[in-house]
Amino acid sequence: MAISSSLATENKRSSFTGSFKKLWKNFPGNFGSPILQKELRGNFRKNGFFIIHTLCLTVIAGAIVWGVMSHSESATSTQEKLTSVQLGRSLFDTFFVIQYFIVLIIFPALTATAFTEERTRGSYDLLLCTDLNPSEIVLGKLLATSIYCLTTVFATLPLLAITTLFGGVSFGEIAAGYGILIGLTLALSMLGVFISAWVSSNIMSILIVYSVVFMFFIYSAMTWPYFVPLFDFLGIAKLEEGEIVKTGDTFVGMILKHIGGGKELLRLGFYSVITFAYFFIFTTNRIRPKADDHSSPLRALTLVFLACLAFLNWQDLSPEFANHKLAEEEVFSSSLILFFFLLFVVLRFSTESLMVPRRICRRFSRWRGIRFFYRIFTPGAFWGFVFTFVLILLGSLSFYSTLMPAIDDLDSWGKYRYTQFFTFFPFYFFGFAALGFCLSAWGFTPGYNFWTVFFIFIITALLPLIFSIGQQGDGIFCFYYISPFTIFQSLGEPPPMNEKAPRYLLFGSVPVIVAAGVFFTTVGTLLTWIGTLLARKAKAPMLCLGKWADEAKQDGV
Amino acid sequence: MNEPNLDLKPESPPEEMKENGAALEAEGAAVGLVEVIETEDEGKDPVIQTPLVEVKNLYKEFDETVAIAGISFEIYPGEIFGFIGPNGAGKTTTIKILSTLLDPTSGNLTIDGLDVIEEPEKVRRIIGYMPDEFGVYRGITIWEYMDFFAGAYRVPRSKRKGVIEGVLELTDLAVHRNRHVTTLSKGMRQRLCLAKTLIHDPKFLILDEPASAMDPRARIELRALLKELQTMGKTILISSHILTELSDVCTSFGVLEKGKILRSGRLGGGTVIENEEEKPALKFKLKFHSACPEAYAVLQNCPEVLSHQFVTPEENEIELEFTEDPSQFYKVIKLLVDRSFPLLTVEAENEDLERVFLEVTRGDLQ
Repeated sequence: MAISSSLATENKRSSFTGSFKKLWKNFPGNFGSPILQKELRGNFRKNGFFIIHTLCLTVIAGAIVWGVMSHSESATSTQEKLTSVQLGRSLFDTFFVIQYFIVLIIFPALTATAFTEERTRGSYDLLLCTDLNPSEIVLGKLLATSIYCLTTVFATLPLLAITTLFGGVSFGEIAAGYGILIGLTLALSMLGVFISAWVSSNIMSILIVYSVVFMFFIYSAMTWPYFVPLFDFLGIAKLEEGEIVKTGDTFVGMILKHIGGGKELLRLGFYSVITFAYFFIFTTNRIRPKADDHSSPLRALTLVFLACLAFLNWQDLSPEFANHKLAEEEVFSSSLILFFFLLFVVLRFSTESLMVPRRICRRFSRWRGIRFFYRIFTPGAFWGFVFTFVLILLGSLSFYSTLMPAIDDLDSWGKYRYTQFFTFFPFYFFGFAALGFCLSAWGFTPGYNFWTVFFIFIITALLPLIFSIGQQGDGIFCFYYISPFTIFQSLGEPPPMNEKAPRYLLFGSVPVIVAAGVFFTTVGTLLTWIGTLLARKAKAPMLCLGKWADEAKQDGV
Repeated sequence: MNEPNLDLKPESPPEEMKENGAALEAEGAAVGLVEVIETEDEGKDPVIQTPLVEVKNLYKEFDETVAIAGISFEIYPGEIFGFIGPNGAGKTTTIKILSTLLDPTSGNLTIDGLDVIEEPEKVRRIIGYMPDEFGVYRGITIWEYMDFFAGAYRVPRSKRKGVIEGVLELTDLAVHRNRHVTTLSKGMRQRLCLAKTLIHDPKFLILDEPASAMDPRARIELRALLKELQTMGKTILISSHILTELSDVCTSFGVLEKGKILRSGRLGGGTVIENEEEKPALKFKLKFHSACPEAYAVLQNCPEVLSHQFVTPEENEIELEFTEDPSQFYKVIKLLVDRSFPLLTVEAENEDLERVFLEVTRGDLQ
């Protein structure tokens, strides 16, 4: 009764200053979700927080003191004395290298227990039973973890200020350095939250996160020379044989003056955002149980079939790529683009999230031709195939109608690239459509809430931008410069016109694509049917129009 | 035996007891039964209402294991439904499915007309779930803990303070509001969790072993609290191993074993009501100081007694069954007392939860 009466209390209005005071009083309660508030309260009251802070500051301060002391010693020795600017530069580099290692060594342990701690503590079920949607929970955890770690990162700013007293460092470089640390911290936070959502024990989660970080570290160490140009691009100077070598503009200057030249950075940014979004969405879909319509075996069958088809097709074409590494890389890069694009499209129309109203389903079920399919398929599989087919048709038509007319104006190399691209387009479409089904069947499918829609919208909206940036100047496809292939293989001269190009053009024509769509859909349908029969034989429960198959049969659906 | 023991009080004449049934209300089974019967007479029979919770053919399989094998039950508004069963019977699985934490393999579940599988978000708003095992967050106080859950259940900020205070008062935690939750005893944590469960004023409470760590006083207080919540219009599903705990507060029950409901029914004052239409027969066990065949002979000639038999070979305990009218029971007892038979105790022998549980479950490992 007390609850009801207090709920019925009227909200009192207050003045502007009163509101401000109230806002301040409730801080950080006003700042985001209850999860964030709770996590911040808990995290910042831990003894561990102060210990970590102190430890980090001590290590960095020690390094700076050691640097200055060693400089004093070198002045008395036979070694050449560093100039003030060189010392500042040296301290700055040391500062960021230590920060980088602190982030890599300490933060995984802080981020990897976001959800596992809830599980081991026994508060996970209580959290899931609240009115918070999965995105809010993940976002709250992510922000809390990031803020916790970033506080440690930014606590070192006064120490950095000491190094700048010696000169040799610009504001842009500091901004760029901290930008990289922030990016790394956010990435580690997302990685930690993601892994902790999948693993049940704290130790296991921490071990996995450290393993992943270690692998990334090895990879980045191996490819370090390839990132040096990025330093030039960011305007970060390097010490080479005691001399400051500084090429390019500062980070800020580059952004302001040469926005067009910043496309590599933008690509990197988009790449990160997309990866980040994937981790975020997969995490949100992990933490809530999702109803399974038991059509996953069917989708898995479809996936295997399509994967085999794509593989065989790739094998057929590979001999022609043997002498044209560049073309192969470009196709690979374009496949990356398609991977992200199509996976998002498919996830958008994923079977469980189609939310086709039952009323419409029932209307469809009255049609004799479709009733047959309804009896066989689960609604998810049925609508999945319908959507896939329509998407293939529309996607193919739109791409061909906009890009094909331009092919005549291209040189032989351009034609070759485009034909490769178009040839592979339907295969990727099918492949990733099937992958989307599979993911949705395994509970990856995003539930529709604000944040999911927001991410999908942003990324879908950004993709054309990536395309447009990628096609400027010498750039052909986005991700071209950052794909692993381009890192490990040098680019050769463009190959001559492929003589077999017309075959691809013919194969890639609209009627063939449509025919291929019909063919694949039919084969997929047959496989699904067989899978359904097998599932029935195994007495697996099947959904039909939202009812179990037996009930539906009784109702004459 | 269970609590409902009626020590005979010769100084209280049966006629008075008959006239003033309320005088017995605190005592035991027979009176509890009257209470239920009266309630039914007043037309408040919950059976005529639409069920708040409907579970039909619920199945849940974990790989090869069948955890729930097609159970069905209904809970009506205002009821306290006791869910009993041995370890591994499927109680917690059922509760987790109702709480939207697990998806069933098949079956239909509705709470207040909302499909638990189709509309879990809406269902979460009207249920309050208290798990059997749970942890508390470190570094925050009771007030902050409640504030977190109030926010998580989207209680408006302007009303949050009042709601939290109300709930803490209800669970007797108001004085501890600034204590850190990690410093609380297990019993107090259970009260805190119950307070959290009530924060959004849910219609339906799902309590899984709510008193497992509570001391006797706290358990008694919990029973009182449950009754108070019932009067506030809450519908409650409560699972517990402690049958006396349930029989005192529950209005209906379901016995679960190996994923199947073996028996369900209604309870009145701790006694199982066999038939909704007819008032149940009353069973009593009379214990004499020594063997008393004379008393048995007297009882044989009483038309009020439906059945009678010696329970023990010593012939000092007799089991009797009367019609639903308590006045007949009073008459017989008066007769025995007037004849100065060495009567020691009279125990109500009606079917209670414990007896039902032992009868229907086999005690096999699940």
